[in-house]
Amino acid sequence: MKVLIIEDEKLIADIIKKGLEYHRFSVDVAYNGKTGYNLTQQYEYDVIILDLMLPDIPGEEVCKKIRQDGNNAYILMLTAKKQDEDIVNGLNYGADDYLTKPFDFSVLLARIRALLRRNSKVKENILQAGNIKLFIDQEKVMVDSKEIELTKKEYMVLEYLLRNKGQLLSRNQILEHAWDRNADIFSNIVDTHIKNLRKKLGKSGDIIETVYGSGYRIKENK
Amino acid sequence: MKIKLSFNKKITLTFVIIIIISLILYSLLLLMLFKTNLRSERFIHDLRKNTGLKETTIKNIEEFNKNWQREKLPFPIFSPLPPLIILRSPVMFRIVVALSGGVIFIILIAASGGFLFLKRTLNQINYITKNVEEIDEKKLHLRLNIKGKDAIAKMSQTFDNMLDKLEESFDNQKHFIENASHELNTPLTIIKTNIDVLRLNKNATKEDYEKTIELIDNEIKKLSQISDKLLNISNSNTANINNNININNNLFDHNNNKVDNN
Repeated sequence: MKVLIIEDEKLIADIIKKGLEYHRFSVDVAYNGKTGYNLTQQYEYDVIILDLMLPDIPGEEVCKKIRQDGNNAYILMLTAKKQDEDIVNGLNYGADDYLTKPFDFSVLLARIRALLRRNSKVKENILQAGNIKLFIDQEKVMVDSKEIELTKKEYMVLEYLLRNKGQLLSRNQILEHAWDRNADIFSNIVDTHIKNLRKKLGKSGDIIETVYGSGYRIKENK
Repeated sequence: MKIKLSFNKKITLTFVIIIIISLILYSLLLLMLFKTNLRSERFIHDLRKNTGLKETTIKNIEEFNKNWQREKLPFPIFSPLPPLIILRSPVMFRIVVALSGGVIFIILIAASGGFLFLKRTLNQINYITKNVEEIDEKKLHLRLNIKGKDAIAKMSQTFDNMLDKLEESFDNQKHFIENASHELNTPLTIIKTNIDVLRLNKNATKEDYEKTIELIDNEIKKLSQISDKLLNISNSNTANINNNININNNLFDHNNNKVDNN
């Protein structure tokens, strides 16, 4: 899943990016509000981590503008402002969650995962299709109770497909949600990863359906 | 024995006493009027002119009134009226009515005017007291807003000015503390997040640990610099906190890792 960090303290932004990438998210970083806002217009993010004290535009404004665009990405405000009224204001501007600095990274991770669960029918930390199980909190994939070793990118592609089970996903969509903005959009890297994924999943790999000329889809459970 | 009275009652009482004293003085005045009138030449003259009294009787009255001497008593003014009073009533009556009316009217006007003015001033003072009582550090934005040029209005305007200065200074201090807190928070967040990420990384190498330790060391140096600066500021003259904040903002800025352009 794809996360955007809008944070002016470079060291904070970079370590969050590093941590989230380790935990299999694709991450973009913006060091000021304007760049961050422009990125939300260009790409589709699942979660936006937003600092409030930005040098150019206040975070609250950025949040308001994102919501005015009709963008429904989950916004998590991450800020040093700890007063109750700040939290109330932040949430009223359209944020989905609020976390104050300094924070515990595992809490941030859990909150991001909780946000991603919000609109899905599955409230557990397990994504399932056929006999494939993806354990979100443990970051592992099991087929018939046997763990499968996947690369980070393969895992991220599979996670995105499983989260949108039954929906047709274009190559572009997969690229947007599993890669950061430095990905080469003209390459066939999505196809390559799907091919590898199918190989590793073995028989169960059939669950990933190719829709000609459009993209891929995970078959719904019968 | 002391009787406690509210300020308002005291003032009312004072005015009542003033009115009573004025009335007593006025009655003394009337008394003297009677006395002088009875002794006056004109009165005798009138008697001679207009009455059927005999000359000898008039002479007798004159003599009698003259002989009735005041030196018999220590305070002549309080001496009783002459024993023989012959009033020509319409004249005296008119004099008395005119005098009484005028004097009482003046007394009442003066007293009630003073009373009302005092009452108004008092009400203003009460208003100020009541409003000032409400102002505390959380309601520093409140003002009295009394317009005018009299002493009370000036006093309340001075008060408002003082509150302006106080509020500004409070805001500055609050701003300064927020700023300092933010500056302390940033290195703490960097340290905390780095430790967390490293701890969650199952494949962390020795190099990862070394890098993190170095980074934490740097951030701790920054923290101690900030702490030194805060100490310096509290030691230096705090009278001019505005300057301190400006200096401080500049100092803080050198430590930041802020990136202006992405």
